[in-house]
Amino acid sequence: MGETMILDIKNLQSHFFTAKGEVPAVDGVSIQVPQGKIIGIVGESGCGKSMTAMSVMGLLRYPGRVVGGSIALAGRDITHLTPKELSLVRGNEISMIFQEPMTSLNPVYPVGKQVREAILLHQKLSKTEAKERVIDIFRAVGIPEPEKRYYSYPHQLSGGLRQRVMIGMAMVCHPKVMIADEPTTALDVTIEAQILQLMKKLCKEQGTSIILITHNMGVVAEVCDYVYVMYAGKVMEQAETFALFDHPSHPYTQGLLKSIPKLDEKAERLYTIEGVVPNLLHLPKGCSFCTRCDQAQERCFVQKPCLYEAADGHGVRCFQYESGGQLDE
Amino acid sequence: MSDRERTADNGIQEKNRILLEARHLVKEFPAGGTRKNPQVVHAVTDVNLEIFEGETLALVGESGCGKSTLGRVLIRLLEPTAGEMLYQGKEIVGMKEKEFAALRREMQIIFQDPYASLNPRMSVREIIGEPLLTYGMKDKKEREMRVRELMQEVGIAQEFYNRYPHQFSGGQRQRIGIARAIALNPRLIICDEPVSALDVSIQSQVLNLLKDLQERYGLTYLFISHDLSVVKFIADRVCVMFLGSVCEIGDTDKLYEKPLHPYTHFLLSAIPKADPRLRNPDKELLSGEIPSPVNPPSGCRFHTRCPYAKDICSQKTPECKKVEGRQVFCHFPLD
Repeated sequence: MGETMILDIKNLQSHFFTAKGEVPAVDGVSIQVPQGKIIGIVGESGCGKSMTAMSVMGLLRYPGRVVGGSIALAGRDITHLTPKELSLVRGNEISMIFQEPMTSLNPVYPVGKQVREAILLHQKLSKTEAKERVIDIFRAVGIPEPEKRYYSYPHQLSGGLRQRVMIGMAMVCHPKVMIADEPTTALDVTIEAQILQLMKKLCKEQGTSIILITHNMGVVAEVCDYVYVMYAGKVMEQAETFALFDHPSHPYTQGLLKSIPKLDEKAERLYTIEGVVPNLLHLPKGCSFCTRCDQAQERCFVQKPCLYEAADGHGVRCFQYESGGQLDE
Repeated sequence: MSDRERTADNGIQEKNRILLEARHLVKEFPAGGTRKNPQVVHAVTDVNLEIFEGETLALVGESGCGKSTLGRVLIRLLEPTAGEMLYQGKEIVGMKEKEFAALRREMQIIFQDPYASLNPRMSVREIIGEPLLTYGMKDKKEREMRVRELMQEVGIAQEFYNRYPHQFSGGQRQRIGIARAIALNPRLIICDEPVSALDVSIQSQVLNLLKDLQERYGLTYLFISHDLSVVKFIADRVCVMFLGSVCEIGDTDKLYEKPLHPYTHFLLSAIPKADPRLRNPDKELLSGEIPSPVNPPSGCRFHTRCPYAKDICSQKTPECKKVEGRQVFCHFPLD
């Protein structure tokens, strides 16, 4: 990819040091985010997609820790910043929205004040100016009667409106990158469609890059430009959205896509991926997907596959594509 | 109208008999207010519904539309505020608990959250065995045999007989919940969002299991879900609800192909499709939010969000219209 990378994550490793052992929640993940694009990270629960985001934001808590790799934001390494330096970056150049808007807003402050706090922290503006900015951003994210809503408390807003407030808060300082962790999972479909459309619009108008974390293949297909499929802490496949849905190459991606019930066909039975996600403490020796894979060969059980280049810009972690070049170490 | 005529009306083969029928069902919950001016949540308003034997009827709608409440009222886990319910032609509203107990074993429920619906202090043996014990299977040996048989049926390995819920994954727990529901050979099972808490790869396993069990035992499902692609896979007929009232009832294929109610249309078009070639940047979206069920809009409940609404929609509640064997509650059905 020849474009400039606004966020460049290289071989990121985040481990959790638990009483039962070291859990490799994020195990060598490399993600590149070009400017003004929407990048999707998709996977099932426990695959490490949220932990990747938390590591980037510097929000990993004990017993978790980033143990390797680098994160570069607009050319600057932010992996080893002090908490003070990090707080200047977080919310300003890179921001995050969470799944549950109710738990991520403070229930005892009006929402307008909470958004204003982000501005006052990062920019030299007076309180009145900041308030105007808040009302502007509320209007931009489609909150009706923004002057009135400025004084509303979170419990007085519906789920969709709360998520709009969160997006407003994340966007108010014009960050370079916004990470959205399952932003629409808690919302109804008609509201979900509104929020996705809003995020797409903001991405286009303000040139903000978005990392969208989701388990929903439909959401990915709808809004993302480039997709990373994660499984057990590793990227299994990465490709442009159209390439991924036209030629899903990793057996896991193929299985995921096949097991979603389709709207336009009537199937008697659904395709299933047998078994369950492996325990990260006891990963198979070879490929982490080998125990559930219907195309597994003998060597898949003993040797770990690398990310191979199946086509231009299309990486697959599977021996079937070994003839292509290697993309990671 | 006899059973037969009514079924013919719905375009369903007439050999299908009505298992459960709801007439003008209403459920309200108190919601504070003052003594002089009490407020109520209108959770379910005047719902007429038939469930045929052996079919899967899906209840779909957004959160707060009353689908779960309706499911619970139908098996009398909640008492309706008004209305009648006929189970195999017999009135069950107001039936004495003693008399109803015999029917209760024919109606079971599977819950959404497999983490909250199993008692953490009971082992699999006790969880699946409890309904058997309640309904008189006192003999321990006999019960163990039946529990093991049920475990086999839903795909839980025999060695987990004495394990506790926390030792299982979400998908396996849901299987335990299913085993408990089918333990008494019920006729009707209410599936209240049984797969929405599960990952995609596990979701398809559980859906297949539900379908297999239905075939084997001739079960009737009332499948409550907000996920329209899951519904498309499993349901024979679909009932779309909005804010406590029914918008449209019809055969799954026909309803998906050509929705008659504007709400169904927008609901279907809002689903993110797993195919980037179907992207449509100018997609018409439903604006606004769901109104409060405490003060529902007058007339058609959907009129505040409906782009096609006319004056009459805010004044008069739409009556049931029959279009090509489907029921639609709209003054101006789409064509």
